Amino acid sequence: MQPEEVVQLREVVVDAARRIFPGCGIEVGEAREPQEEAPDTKRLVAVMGFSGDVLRGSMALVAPMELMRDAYPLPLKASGWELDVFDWSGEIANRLLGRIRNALAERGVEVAPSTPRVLYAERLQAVGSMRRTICTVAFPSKTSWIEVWFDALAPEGRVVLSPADPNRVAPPEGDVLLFD
Amino acid sequence: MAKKVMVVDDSRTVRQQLGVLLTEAGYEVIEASDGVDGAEEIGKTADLAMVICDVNMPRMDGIQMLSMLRADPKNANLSVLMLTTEGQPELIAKAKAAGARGWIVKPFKPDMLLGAVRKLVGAA
Repeated sequence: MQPEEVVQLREVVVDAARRIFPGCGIEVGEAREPQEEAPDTKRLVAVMGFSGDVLRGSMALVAPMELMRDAYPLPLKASGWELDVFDWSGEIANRLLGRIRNALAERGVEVAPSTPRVLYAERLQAVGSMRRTICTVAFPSKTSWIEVWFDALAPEGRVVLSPADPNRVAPPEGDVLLFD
Repeated sequence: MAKKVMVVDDSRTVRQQLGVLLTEAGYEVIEASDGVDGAEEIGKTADLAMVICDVNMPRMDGIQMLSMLRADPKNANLSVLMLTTEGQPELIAKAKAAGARGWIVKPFKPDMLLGAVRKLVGAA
């Protein structure tokens, strides 16, 4: 993939994350390069894959358990709340990849997603190969970070993002579109 | 008797959010976790007024489930509202052709979603 295509895809990912996170209970600052975290930080990893004719890859959302717990939109049970937080993490990943997909579709690139899977990790470390992605970007939130790892391959070698087509714009999030 | 609304979504959190919203508005809420589960529940639920359905789900997606429902004449008047992260015009057109009555891109706005439910099936 050409460097300018990587830059364009990174912009799509960062823009989508900045728009989606606040509506999911996560206020974030400016995107940055990931920071080294304490190795004992317990983190949730929500993973989704996607595929299409010109682009395929995966996306992972990585955040401390506490951050995702605080973002949960309903009252949590006193015990057994972890599964609810796992579920919410998967839903946030689903919304983020959904917005990325819609943005790509506006520019002529169609991809179809998998459903999310959520892992719980202690001592999570990204090895060298995991850094060779389109982008690994971190957003500060409260006292910690939420990271997006976006990895993509173009089977034909190039991903040409057309200018956004106004006829392919998705309806605004939350608006109701009723059919006759 | 309260009108019955079925929520089909693989996210338990989304089902619970919708459950709280619709129950407080006076509707009876039934949950299903994917298209297969949803089709089964619809088959055995009498007097169902409406279905709110996700698209991207394991086992059977929401548009497949919708097409399956419409193949059965007894579901001809069942209102189905799609609630999903998807927003591509082709997919929206496909859902409309399959018999969906409306489309909302997540995240939903509670007052707007409730307004759509009332418009499609009336007050609880």
